[in-house]
Amino acid sequence: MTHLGELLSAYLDGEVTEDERKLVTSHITDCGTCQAELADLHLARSALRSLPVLDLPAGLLDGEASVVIPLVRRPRVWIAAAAATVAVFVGVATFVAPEPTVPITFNEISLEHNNRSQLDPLLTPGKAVPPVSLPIGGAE
Amino acid sequence: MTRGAVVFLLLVGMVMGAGPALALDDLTPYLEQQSAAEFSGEESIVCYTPDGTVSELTVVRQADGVRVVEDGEGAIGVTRVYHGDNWVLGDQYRVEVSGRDRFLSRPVTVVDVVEGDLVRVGLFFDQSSGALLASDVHNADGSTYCSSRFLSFDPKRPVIPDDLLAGLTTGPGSSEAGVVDADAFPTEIAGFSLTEVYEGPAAGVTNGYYADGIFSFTVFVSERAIEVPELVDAPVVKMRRGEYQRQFYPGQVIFAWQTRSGGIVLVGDLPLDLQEDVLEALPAPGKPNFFVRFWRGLFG
Ligand SMILES: [Zn+2]
Repeated sequence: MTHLGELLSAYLDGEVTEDERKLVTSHITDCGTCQAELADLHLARSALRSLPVLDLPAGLLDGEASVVIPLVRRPRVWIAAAAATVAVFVGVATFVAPEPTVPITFNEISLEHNNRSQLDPLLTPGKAVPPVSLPIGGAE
Repeated sequence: MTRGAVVFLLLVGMVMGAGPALALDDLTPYLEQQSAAEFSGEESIVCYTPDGTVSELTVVRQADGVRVVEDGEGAIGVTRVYHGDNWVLGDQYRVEVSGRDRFLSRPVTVVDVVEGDLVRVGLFFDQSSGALLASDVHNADGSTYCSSRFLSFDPKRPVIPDDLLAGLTTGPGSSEAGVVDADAFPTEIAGFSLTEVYEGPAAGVTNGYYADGIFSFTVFVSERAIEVPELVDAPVVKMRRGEYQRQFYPGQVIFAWQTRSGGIVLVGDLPLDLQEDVLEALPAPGKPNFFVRFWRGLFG
């Protein structure tokens, strides 16, 4: 049997045609080798996703390459008047804003929805939803 | 097949003690068997989205109506699985047993959920255990939205540690249903029926859960903008009625936007065309007007 090889990676990347997608989904149905390979690819990807974001070395961005020239202008009377008007607007805006917001985490949203979608055949059996982290055993 | 004939065959099947290998144009027996199934295995989920492919490999264990899902990063989800009496399949769908096949060297029954000419969903049920071994969800144009496949499957009853059951969620009906104004939600949105209205998880947030028997979504509505920390870096997409923040996960999508009168978050498993249809039926994105902001600035 010819195995899927590179096509598996393309499948996970979504870089396959509809025919190739059908070929992959039907082939992995009964090919243990490609099933194992697909599982490895999944794991490699999730490992990549969870790598820490590296900080840039100090000095890389604030070196000699960037020179900032400050702009200095003399205020004039009409500018001062305009500034006063803007200040009034900013004052009102600050009073009205920032718009109060309601914070909800993704986990809370997902949990509420998943609790109810147990009657949904695609969520209950088969297709897993993003697991909701619980404050137990290895949760985030 | 007439409904009477279906019921008759179902009754014959029950009397004869027929196992999971039913061949009826009705999803209910398959869903009941699936929720009663006991198994473990590794499941691959791949979804093709406008923002790229999202995929995940999870380890699934199911026994005693409890399903435990672990992802590759150590997160664990525990939910109760059951098939309830109040499940209703939308009129737009018909169910066809399209044949028998083999999957992971096991005999499976292939059940298609058809909408017009479109096979909206293909489901592959293990004939012996009743478990759903694979599924394909399609967009209106026939392209694939999500595929799930078990890559390994063990039909033995798995052990689910007691400490996981401690965190078990209780399912619908456990929330503050009834204390909120259900009239605030339309009874139908784009072919989905309002099934439950409840409050939470934060004060002042009211939620409507909508389902059509195959897909479902929840709309979280607040008089204030809703801030989801995980969506801070989510892409902003322009759709028919305006701009939304959108984030795809394997098997789930979240939209968040601000309206003229507050904030809305939508979460669900809708294929791409149904996402558009549902968003179109909900309040459009917009900025609250000056007086709304002024009022909130004064009184919160
Ligand atoms: Zn192969």
